[in-house]
Amino acid sequence: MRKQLDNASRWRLKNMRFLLYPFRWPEQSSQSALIGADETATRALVARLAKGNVLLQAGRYQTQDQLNERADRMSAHRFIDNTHD
Amino acid sequence: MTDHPERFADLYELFRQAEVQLKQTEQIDRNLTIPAINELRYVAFHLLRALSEQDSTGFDADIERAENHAKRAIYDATEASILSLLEKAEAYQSDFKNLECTTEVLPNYVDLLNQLERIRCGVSDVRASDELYLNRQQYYPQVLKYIDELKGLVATFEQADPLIRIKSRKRAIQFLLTVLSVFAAIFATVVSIGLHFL
Repeated sequence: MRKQLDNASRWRLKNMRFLLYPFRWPEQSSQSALIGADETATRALVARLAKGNVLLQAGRYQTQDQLNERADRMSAHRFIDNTHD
Repeated sequence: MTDHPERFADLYELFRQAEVQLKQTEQIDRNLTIPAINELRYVAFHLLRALSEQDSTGFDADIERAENHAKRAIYDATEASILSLLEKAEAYQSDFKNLECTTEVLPNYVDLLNQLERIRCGVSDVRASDELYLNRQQYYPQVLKYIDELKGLVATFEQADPLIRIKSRKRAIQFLLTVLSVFAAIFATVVSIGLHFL
């Protein structure tokens, strides 16, 4: 009985997700959502002092540490599980 | 200086390629890659030192170091683009994975994932050891090949996304209508039974 209830709730959740997917709002990438308050202040300072490059003026740059973080996160991801890795 | 024009030509070509990759990364990732720009700074340093060298041994060594820095700049800029495209592909995969109509719109979906995984492994393997990463300049031709392939893969997902959404929406609406009609039928049955007994 408990197993049937679990299966039924998983089925409901799966169908609810596909019901909601077509109506989802496209995710807006937000740089400020990903970085902390200190980093935001640093970028604001760079943006104020930078001249010429529009990306620097917009505070859109990445350091070696940030690149390493992204690379580490992508290393942990698997697009497909190959069990014979 | 003019005794070695071919060395300068090679260095110029590498520097130009680094500039192209940096600009491409700005367009794909919409971020300036500071590590790649730093490598180009070191290119300038070694180039100027080479120009001030009196003997050819020092000149050759500095030009070689400048070339290595230019290759590293190409690698760093290209790696940033690759990571950005892989992240986009990851976001699409996360959206598509629970939907039945994904394989209807993309029959070769599994092949696409295999290609993405191969590229991801190619980039991760270089970072797997510190020694490989410090000598990453030797892998720059390999990562350059990945970029065009990745752009094609992400473009395929971008084109498929609205089609998958439309199919999902139709299925969702059909499912809701089916559920509503079942409830309506049950309600009608209960009402008619109730009226019969009244």
